[in-house]
Amino acid sequence: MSNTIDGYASALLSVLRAEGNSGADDEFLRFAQAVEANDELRSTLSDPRIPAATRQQIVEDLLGGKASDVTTAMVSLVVGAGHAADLPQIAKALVNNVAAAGGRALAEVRSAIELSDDQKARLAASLKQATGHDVDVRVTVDPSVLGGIVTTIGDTVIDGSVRSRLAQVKSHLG
Amino acid sequence: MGLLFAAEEGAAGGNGYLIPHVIDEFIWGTVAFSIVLALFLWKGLPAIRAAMAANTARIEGELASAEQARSDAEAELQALTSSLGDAGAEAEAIIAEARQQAVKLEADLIARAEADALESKERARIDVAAQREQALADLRAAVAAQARSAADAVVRNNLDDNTQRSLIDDYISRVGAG
Repeated sequence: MSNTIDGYASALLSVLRAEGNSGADDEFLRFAQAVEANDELRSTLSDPRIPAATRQQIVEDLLGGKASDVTTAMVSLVVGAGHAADLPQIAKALVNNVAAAGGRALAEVRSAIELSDDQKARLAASLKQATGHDVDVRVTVDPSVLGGIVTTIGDTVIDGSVRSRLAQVKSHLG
Repeated sequence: MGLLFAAEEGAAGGNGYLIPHVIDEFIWGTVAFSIVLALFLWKGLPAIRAAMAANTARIEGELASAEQARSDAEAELQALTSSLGDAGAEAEAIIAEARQQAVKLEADLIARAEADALESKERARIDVAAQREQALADLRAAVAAQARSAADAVVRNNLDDNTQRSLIDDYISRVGAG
């Protein structure tokens, strides 16, 4: 991971500590994932020919009323500095830092549908039981999973997706 | 001859002898004849003999040369005959070798043609087998692709919300169970 990404992740963690993290890191991660999935949005926010103020205005227009002011400010900071393309990496580093700061491991969960709070809590408990560590569950809705869940904790992947089962079936089919 | 002289003399009315009736003439004639004869025997005869000897030697030399030439010619003839004999043997050897080479070449060509034919046949057999395998593989791939698409469609169509939540709950339970 580059110094730029680590630097921004550390700076944003300081902002969260100062302003209070009431889900702002999660909002930041979701926005970053949206930017990663949307080529047009990513190229617009990364375009150096567009003035920084205009790009920041786009961010405020998109997040205004839908995310906290802290989240909007953090995204606007990164985009205004010309690092919109690094948003996904910065967001991952940030949630890792947040989890590590709380003494927890980051569990990146990909699911075809959104998990309920109850499911998140039970999943966190199950993962703690399996790994022996408290975990910070971050859910990303990914339709390509088809069904079930894929959890990544560090280098460990626990794949319970329909996609992987289907892939196994496909491999048998040749 | 004396009788002849006497007859001639008698016929002429001489002394009746063969010798002339003038004896001096006879004497001087005899002396002159003897001188001429002596000169002939002294000078002419050796010269004649020498000339004859030289002629004989020349002829003998020529005969010897002719003999030598004949011998040389015979030797040359012998050599030529021998050479012709050698040339004939050599020609026969060359012809025999050429025949052997022709036979060997023919055998080689036949063997090569047979080998090529076998190789072509084997290659054709392998090509046919490979094409058959490829066709089967393509068919399997097409069937598998159809099956995968069908499986995708079936899974997507059957994953309603309840199923999704059930899958998630099942996952959580399995992870917790270790």
